[in-house]
Amino acid sequence: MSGKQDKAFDDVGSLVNQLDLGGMRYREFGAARKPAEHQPAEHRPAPSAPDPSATAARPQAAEPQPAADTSRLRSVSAGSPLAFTFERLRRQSIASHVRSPVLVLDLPERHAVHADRLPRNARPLRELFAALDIDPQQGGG
Amino acid sequence: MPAPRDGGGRLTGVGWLLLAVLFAVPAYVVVVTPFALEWQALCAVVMIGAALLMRHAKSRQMLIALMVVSLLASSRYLYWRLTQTLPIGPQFDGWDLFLASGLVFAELYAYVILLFGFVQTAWPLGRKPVPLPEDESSWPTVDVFIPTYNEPLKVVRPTVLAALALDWPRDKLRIHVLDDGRREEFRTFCETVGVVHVTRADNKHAKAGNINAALKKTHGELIAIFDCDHIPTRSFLQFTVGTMMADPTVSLVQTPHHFFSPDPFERNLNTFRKVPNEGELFYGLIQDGNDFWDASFFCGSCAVLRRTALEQIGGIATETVTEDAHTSLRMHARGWTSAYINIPQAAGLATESLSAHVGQRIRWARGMAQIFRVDNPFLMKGLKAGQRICYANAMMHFFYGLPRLIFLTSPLGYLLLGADIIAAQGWMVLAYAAPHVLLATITNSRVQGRFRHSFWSEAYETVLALFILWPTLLAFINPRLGKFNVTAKGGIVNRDYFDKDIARPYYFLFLLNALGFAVGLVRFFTDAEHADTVLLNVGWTFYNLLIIGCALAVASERRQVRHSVRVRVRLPALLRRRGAQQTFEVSTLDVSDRGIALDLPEALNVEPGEPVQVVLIPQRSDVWLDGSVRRAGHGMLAMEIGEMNIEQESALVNALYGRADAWLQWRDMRAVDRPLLALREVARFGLLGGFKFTRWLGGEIVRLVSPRRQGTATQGDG
Repeated sequence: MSGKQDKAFDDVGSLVNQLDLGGMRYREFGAARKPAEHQPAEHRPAPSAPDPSATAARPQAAEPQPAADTSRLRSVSAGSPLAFTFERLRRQSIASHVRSPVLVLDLPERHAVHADRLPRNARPLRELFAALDIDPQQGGG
Repeated sequence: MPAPRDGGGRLTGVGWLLLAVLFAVPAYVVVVTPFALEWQALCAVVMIGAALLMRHAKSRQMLIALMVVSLLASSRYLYWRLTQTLPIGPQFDGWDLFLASGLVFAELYAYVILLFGFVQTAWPLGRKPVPLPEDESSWPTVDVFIPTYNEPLKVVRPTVLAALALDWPRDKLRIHVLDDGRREEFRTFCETVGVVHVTRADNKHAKAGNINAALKKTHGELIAIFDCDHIPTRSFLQFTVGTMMADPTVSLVQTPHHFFSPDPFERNLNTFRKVPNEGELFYGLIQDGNDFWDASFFCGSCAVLRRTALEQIGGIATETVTEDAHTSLRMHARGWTSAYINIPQAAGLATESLSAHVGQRIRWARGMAQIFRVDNPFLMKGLKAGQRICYANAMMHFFYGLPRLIFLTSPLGYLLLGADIIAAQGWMVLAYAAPHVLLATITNSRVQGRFRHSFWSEAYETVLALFILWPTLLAFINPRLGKFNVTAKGGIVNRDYFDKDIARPYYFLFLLNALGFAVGLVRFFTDAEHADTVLLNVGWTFYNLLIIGCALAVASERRQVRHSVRVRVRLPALLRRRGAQQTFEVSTLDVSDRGIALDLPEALNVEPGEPVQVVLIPQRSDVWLDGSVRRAGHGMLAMEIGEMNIEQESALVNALYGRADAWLQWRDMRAVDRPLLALREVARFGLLGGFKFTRWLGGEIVRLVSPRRQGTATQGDG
């Protein structure tokens, strides 16, 4: 026997049924989300008044992690400039140097871009940041 | 009784008043009419018989009728006690009156608690979550606060990772670890996973001050607060916030505190998931009952609060060490309402050792006594009658230390000191007391049966009574006395041992009662004139011995070497040899943060030490967890999880703790109370505790009288 199970797994549905909460409509947000992906920009302290004791997530070295799943990078819409940049990152094996998911871009498909330990002079990465209008020094979007 | 808030009321205020007057006249007659012994005995039999019949009825109205009958029996007993049994007169001395007054005080206290308890639990609201609006853009912004002080990071990590997976629009959710320990490893972890690490310059006002400091740095419309070891399910916000959106007067929505590890009672008595634990009565029934009266209150964790309500009262209350209840009391007094959703949407670790458990309860007791002084619910402006009763009962409950001690020692006044604590014949006492005690037991069993088994309250209270007596008294005299202590979680108990420090007060109580029992037996056979009174007191003393024995059994700490708690749960999973293509569909048997037990597929032959990989809930996750086989055989594979990166750890946390229905069925697995079986169980533990204590005491005596052996043992230990 191999392959993924096709039995439905629905913890929310189970809860709703057991408690007879027929009117509940549940929305998924977090299940597909990775840590570090959630911080909303408009919900942060204003940049003009930084709070020294509150440190939001920033790209930073962390404990070694397994290599990133580069197959995700290929599933961006084919032919788009973004896909092209992703593909170049992949071909240059930059992704294989990735260690920690400390910078995550808020893409429609929720693809993670791992920026830690990425060569700072990596041209494709800078292009990527520019394409998405992100300042890498200010952390993930 | 006022109409429920959700609109079930049919009678107007005048209607209730008429009904009360119609009821009051016959009730007065029932309470005050004196009977001779045989008629009182008949009355007792009728009342008990009626209660036994009524307890089987399912309707809420019949339950309330049962409560009324029980209160009538108790009122009749107390009226008789106060008017006919006090030792006043030339044949009694001051000592008799002193001891008798103490017992009457304890009985009056128990009566008030019984009455208030019935009011509290008469009609649990059973509120259901309110669906959120379709338009997600109208959903409020939420700040999640996870306060911590000295807890290790390994305890806090799962809570943070589960909070990251809360199903809420990402642009409306922000997670903050409020680290009063100002620890570098916490800052690094927060930065790694992408949550906000909040610190402050001092630790003023402990947890309350920590939250208040964070309130000034954040802006979310709602504040969700989780103790650092309370791991939320992903559905927490969607099941709670709708209530606040539907009713803008709701200041807070509280959910139960659920524990997936055994507390000291459950571990040391081996009752985990068999007998409801100490907290289940409160979270299973009392808070739901409070909700009927718009008096469910904040419990410090697993709750969502409205920022505007908090700001209106100046933030979390800092004057007492139970800042949570105090805060909601103030919000209620300002006209805000509250809600309780009795669905476990977070879970955490119970206290590991009895000493930690006692420490936590001392804090609660002290804090409630402080509130009773600082903002007495009977005197505070702005509260409704039901709220006054619910809050008062929550606070007065913690004054049980002295009454419990009196109940545990009163018969000794008669047996050892010869004091007349009840100036009446033994059979008469029995005829009046039996319906009072039995009806209260039957009614409580009917009301609380799913959440507290009969006679366990005595056991729980006895363990704590002597420890909370002084702090509550002190706080009652001066509310400023006492400081906040943090409850230790996540520890281990290295070996079986008898916690003699915790049990010390109960040695003396046990030995005193054993002495009283022995003296009583002798008197029973030698003092025929007072045989009935002696027998009554001997029986009472024997019951006390069993209850104290239970406390001693709990003090016998059982070894707990497992660093992480295994949760028995059936989850779908995929299993494979590390790196292999072939995968096997399996189910988990239990899961912890260090290991997983799985069904072993017949086609998979693995050896201990072999590397394997697992995906938990593959329908939702594709993250493989690496590990190695610890044991395989008899249809079961035990896997030890290896080092995990954040993504893997998050996948494990979300599968194990973050499922919406993760804790739903735990309560349903326990048996409903059957009083006689519960009495047998408590008696068994009482005998066991007595035996363990006697064995320990024997060993201590042998050691004391045999210095040569002690010296040898010391050398051996060295």
